[in-house]
Amino acid sequence: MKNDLFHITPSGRAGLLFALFAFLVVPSVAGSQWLNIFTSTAIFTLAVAGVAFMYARLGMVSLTQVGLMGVGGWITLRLNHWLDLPFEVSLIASGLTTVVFGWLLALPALRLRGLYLALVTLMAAGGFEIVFATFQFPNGGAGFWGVQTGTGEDFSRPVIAQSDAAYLRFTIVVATLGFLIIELHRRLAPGRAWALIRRSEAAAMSAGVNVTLYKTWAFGISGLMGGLAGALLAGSLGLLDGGTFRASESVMIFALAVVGGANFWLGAVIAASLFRILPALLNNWGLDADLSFVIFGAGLLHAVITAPDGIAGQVMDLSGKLFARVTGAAGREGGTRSAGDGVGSNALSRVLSNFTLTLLQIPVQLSHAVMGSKMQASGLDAPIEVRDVTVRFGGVVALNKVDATFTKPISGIIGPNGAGKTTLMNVISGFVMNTQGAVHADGVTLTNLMPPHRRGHWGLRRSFQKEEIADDLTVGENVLAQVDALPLSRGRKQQEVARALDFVGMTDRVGKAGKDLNSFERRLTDIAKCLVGHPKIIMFDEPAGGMSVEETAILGGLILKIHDYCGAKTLVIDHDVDLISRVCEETLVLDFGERIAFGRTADVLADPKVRAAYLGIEEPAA
Amino acid sequence: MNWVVYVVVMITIVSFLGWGKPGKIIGLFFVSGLAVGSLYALGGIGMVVLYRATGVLNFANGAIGAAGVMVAWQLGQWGVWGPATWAACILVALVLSLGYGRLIAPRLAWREPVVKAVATLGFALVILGIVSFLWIDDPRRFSLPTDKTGVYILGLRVTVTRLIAFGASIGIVVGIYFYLGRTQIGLQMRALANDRDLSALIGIPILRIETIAWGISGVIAGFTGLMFGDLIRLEPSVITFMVIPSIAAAVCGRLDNLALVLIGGLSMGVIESLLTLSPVLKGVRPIAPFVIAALVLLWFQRGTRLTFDGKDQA
Amino acid sequence: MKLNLKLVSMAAAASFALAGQAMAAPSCGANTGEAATGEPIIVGGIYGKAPPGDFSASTDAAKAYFDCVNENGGINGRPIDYRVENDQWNPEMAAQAASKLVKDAGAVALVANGSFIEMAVNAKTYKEENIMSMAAACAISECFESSNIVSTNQGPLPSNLGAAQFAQEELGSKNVACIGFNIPNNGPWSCQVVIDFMQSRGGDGSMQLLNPGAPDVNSALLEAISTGADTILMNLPAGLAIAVLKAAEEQDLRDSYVWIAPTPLYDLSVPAALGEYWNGKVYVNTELAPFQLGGPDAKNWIEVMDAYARPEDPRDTFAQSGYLSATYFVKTLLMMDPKDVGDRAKVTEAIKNISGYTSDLMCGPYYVGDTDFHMPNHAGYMVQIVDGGFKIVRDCYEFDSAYFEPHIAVEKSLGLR
Repeated sequence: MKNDLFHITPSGRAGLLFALFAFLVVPSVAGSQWLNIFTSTAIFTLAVAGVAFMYARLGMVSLTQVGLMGVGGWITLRLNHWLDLPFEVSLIASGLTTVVFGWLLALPALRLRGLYLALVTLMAAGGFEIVFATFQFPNGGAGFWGVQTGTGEDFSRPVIAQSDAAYLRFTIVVATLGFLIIELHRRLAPGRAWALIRRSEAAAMSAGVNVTLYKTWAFGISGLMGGLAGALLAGSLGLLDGGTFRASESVMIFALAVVGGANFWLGAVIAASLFRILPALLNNWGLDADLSFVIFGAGLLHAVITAPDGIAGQVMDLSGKLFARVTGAAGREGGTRSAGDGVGSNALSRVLSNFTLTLLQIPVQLSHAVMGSKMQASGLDAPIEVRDVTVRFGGVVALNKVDATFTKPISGIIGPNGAGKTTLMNVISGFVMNTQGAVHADGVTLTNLMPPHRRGHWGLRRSFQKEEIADDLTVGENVLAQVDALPLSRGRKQQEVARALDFVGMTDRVGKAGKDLNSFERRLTDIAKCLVGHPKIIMFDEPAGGMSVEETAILGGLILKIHDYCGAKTLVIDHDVDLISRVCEETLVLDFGERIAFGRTADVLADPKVRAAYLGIEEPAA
Repeated sequence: MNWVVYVVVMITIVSFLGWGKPGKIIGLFFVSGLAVGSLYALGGIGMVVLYRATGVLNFANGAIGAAGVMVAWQLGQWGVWGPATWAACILVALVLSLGYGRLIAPRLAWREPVVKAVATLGFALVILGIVSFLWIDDPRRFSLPTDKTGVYILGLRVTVTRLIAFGASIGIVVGIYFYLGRTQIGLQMRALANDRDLSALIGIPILRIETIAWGISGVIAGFTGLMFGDLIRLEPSVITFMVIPSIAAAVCGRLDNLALVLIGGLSMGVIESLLTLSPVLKGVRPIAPFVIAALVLLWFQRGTRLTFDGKDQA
Repeated sequence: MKLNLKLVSMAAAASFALAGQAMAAPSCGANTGEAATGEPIIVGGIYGKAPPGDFSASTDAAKAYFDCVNENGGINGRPIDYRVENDQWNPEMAAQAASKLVKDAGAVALVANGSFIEMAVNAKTYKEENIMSMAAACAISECFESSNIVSTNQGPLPSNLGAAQFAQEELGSKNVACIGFNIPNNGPWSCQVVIDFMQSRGGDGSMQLLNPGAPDVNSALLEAISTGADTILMNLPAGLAIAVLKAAEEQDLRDSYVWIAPTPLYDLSVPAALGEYWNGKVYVNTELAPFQLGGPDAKNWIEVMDAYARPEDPRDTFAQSGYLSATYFVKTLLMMDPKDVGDRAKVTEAIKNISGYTSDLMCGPYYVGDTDFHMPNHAGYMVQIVDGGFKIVRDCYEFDSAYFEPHIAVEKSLGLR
């Protein structure tokens, strides 16, 4: 995957060419007014990129972006007038400050999602609006707020970018760097973690992803983009006004990001163009400003309704088709990237790649620091001891003093719907807190252990009733995401991934995107995810659900080989009694949260209590 | 438990801000705050009624009300009989709301709630643009006959219009409560609010229910517009962007509980008004609704963990 | 009445008090009666128009006057190509507009600018490009305290002061509460001068600030009352000032306080909007001559508007101010050497040399001077809202404040005193 880091996709190439064109040609041909317009557009492209990235990668909505721009602009103006720092220094300081502000905004995101998260960020935007309207922006005055009446003091632009044309170039470079930062993240561990989080936070946690850290990190990056944009805006005008940073503008920026197409670089450019070039054009054509509001609003509605992937999505589709027609090849972008065919094999690329990888290991390292626990040897010889586990949801007892010691390599858990099977699995993996009892394995009390992702680091793996494969990652990346947080060398990780994919027979589909897999392939990928990174306990929740007889047979064969493959103990929940009796040496039977039988599978299945409670009322899997 | 916390927090804030001030002054600002708070609550209630039934948080609510009250004002200038102008205001709001609900909202039905919400901002801009184009910027005032009479509460004279706004916000909460509880359509609305997909499966006429919800919300928006035009000021852009503090009130009820929206809105108004007594904070007092809304939402979410996929959590 | 008449064909001008007279040919520029056909002289103008406010009246009036000049011989046969841009209250668009007019189009001067934001953003550009802006509708401190902007209107500071001075001298005010915007270069800047003035006369003052978008004006009013003030000064745009007065009406505070306001309340729609309750109770300072005075320039202004402006363009203080800026500009160009009128540096120099222009629309003389501050207009009238209109209660008077000391020094050096 390392070589993949600097792989340039067709879309990426177009983006870089566009940036180059904007850098070289535009400033030399644009008039003074258009230099200003393009500078604003480039600045807002960067701001939109921060919002669009969070929405596209994590499905999180931030409605505070112009508020953060205001913060960035404020810091820049303050530093400029107070310490007379060079613009570049203020720019970086602004970016770093807004990263911290972004982290603060991430706090609600740990508890909220969707519209509610968006609304909390909108409340923050409302707060920023009031603060900016009240205190205004520093213009060289005294005191903390630094505001004086009369003409403001001079603002110093970067030494290399004094003229409007040079400043536009400077802005384009910063914006392009912003995009590259986002793209690099997307291609590395954070990108894989985000894809899993977006798919399902539970799956991400059980894959060992520190959801808190990565969500916070994403908000930080989004804040960075906002802060840089705000600082650039301050540099462009030399002063700022509270009116630019109203909460409604933040909502507008997000709406435009959706309209432009949050998944594409072009989307951010389109959004910023709609935000800044379109009004300027309407103004130039002498259209009444009130009527431009109408056109703008109607265009927004139209685009949201007709373009699901945004305007950029339509453009990309169209150009993809054209490209395919011209070259006769499938021009689908990003879908067929694979581990081996990267282009970055020359030395420079490798150096760059190593450097960037080291930088981007920061979240991973942080995660290790938080994790604290060391990786232990592979496999599990000791039994899994479930001791008197009780779970209550309000007044309902979901599990009542369930006690079992799993000693065999593969054990089954069966029971009718609602018996508490999945709840038990959730207790073991940390999604449900048991009110009483404990689960021990290998000298560790799992139930005291830690949040779910740390159980993942310890060696717990699980699948869910639905296969949790991130659509926008390849098979290889999906599996790699599982070991990203583990302190293994990169070579070792890739080796593990390759071996696991070989084991489940998916090697030939390593570069296929998650969204292009059929359900059996998704299930196999899910199993491969459970096998990498020295698992100790692997739990499958109804792995055979929805499978054909042949597929179930293949699945059974794989499960049987797991212990030899990695030494882990496996727990299987399924309604398919044939599968259970084929693979599990021992089986626990639950009914209404109670253990009704436990022992050798054949004995348990012959137990009259089990036959009465379970086999008599068997239903297809829910 | 939450109630105890609420009462304690409110008493603490009021006594902290009012410390050392004469009781009469505190009374004045308290009542004045209730008056503003009832406007926040009114705006918030209108949004929540619609959101519960249709899943759309309507940023255009303020703009719809602004269009209505401007029409009412214009008719008044042309000498039309007062009650007819009020009816016209509500009618305009109803038509705008139904228009969006029937023509545009269904095309966005498959989008996630956030996108549905921000799309309504487009509608708000269209309305605001047209209204600002038709009525050029000029000082105007909109008055209702009820402005003339008033009663003294804790030393503050409160006009009947304010009492109506206050009473209406309570009335709507109670009315909607009984409507949802006692009528067939109300029941179906609750089902829709609970689980849209399931409601469709069991044969609830979604389109009809949603249309009714858009209609009710349009009427409330029109009424709110009348109140805002009278009690805040007759400026379309001010009324349009009142939605942002109104959303803060709605957030206090987690977009769900109308009684909490009411209490949240009133508390915001009171705290904002009492902040005037603080020499340090009076400059930023309009920030109060946002801070309160964010804290309330976080308080309700404390201890919740996001693990399993599902609907929006709050 | 103020429905946009682009759609409803109804002559707004018909309702205007002064429009009743027979149409006379307006007097413009050289008055030759022949259209100018020479090489155009490019002049710019920037106004702000978008929700929540419209300052376009000043550039509309200037445009009407320039059109009239162009049909009357222009500037020695050269027409004025007046190009206006809307900044939509957005600082970026304000900078773009200035770039377009000053750098791209090469305007020789800017005339009748009216905006809340444009002057702050562009003051530095004007200085660097050595171009003068003869603004007409200013509201913030930057407009009056920079080297290349001179405005015909007064802005809030002198107008506030004038209102407070009148209240102190003639209505017995001792303690003025100034309710203004919580924007440093607007509210605090212009309220502080009132407080200083009241203290210099042995009284007292205070300021109550509110946020522009805040729905609640009641608490600012209650705050003002709780300071023990006897006079309330509404240093706000008309819409908000009306909201404050309405809140006061709710409390029935009319007779307990003196109610004064700067120019924004001098708008013909205001008395009707306020209603019977406030009849005779509100005093407003006007920075230009009240409409009913009808001096020669005032008449000419109306004639120009009727002949060249659109019927829906407002006839208000900003329109007067824009008209006045345009006439001073044309007068200056006509006195220049004809070969220099297209040269920005020469035009700038000529504008900076303006001194002693007079008009019946303005109390004092108009001058510019080469200084870092300009506020030629710091005298005004006081009117009272009576019977749906405005009654003049004090003729031209000069405002008394230490703030004007540097201005008075300049006037002395120019021989205007």
